[in-house]
Amino acid sequence: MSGRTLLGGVLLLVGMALLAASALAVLLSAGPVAQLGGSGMADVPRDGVIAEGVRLLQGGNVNSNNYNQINVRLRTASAAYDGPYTVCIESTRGSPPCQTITITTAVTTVTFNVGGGAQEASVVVRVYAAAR
Amino acid sequence: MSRTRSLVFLVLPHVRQVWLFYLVPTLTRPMPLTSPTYELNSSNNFYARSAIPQLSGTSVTAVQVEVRNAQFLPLVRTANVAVQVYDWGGNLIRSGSATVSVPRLQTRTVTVSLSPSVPYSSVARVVVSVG
Repeated sequence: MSGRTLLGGVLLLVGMALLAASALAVLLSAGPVAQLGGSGMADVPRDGVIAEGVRLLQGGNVNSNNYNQINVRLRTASAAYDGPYTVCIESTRGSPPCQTITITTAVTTVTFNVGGGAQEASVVVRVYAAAR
Repeated sequence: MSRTRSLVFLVLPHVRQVWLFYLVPTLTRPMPLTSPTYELNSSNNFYARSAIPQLSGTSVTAVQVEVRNAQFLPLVRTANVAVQVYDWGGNLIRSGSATVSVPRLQTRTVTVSLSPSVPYSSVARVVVSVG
């Protein structure tokens, strides 16, 4: 067997291994990937998902000087953007764990638990929603 | 989410070789969508407890604010509520104000109108101040 043939065989084996790995990767990733309207979630515009405000709550109650929860109201601007999203917040009290939820045109409230205590003079909340 | 996955075969018959080029798949993560930043400023024992834009379609026409009166006396106090809306360039594009009477240790809701309405996609920062 010449060196050239041997090299060709090795390359063919490497290629087949890559093909097998690719097929496995597709199988593993096929489940959670969402495609909307065939165009993919990467096309969701800034106003495709609307964060309709924030509320500060203490044990589910807004009528308190303290708060340990931040409620975020979310909806999509159109059913075309309905689907699963990972929602995260950055707040004066840090960034609690992100949550994966399905957002639709109906308002969905997402509750983030934060460290408790009296409300600060200034509270800042920023919301991120990344398509899954 | 999109993928790039390509397979290219290059056949060179004159040397009886098959070259196989494989481009490793790359995942293109979608950019996260960022909402406006909500800033709730409190003073004079009045607390801003919420900022909820009111939308008509995708335009913001008003901002609903819940105000907490944390003071025991007098029985009722009047809160001044101001809303400022900034665009993504940091420019103040809308503002409005309103007053609301809030009984002691209670919370009341007030709606501050923004006229003319502003597209939600232009709203980068909503600042609510009560006092």
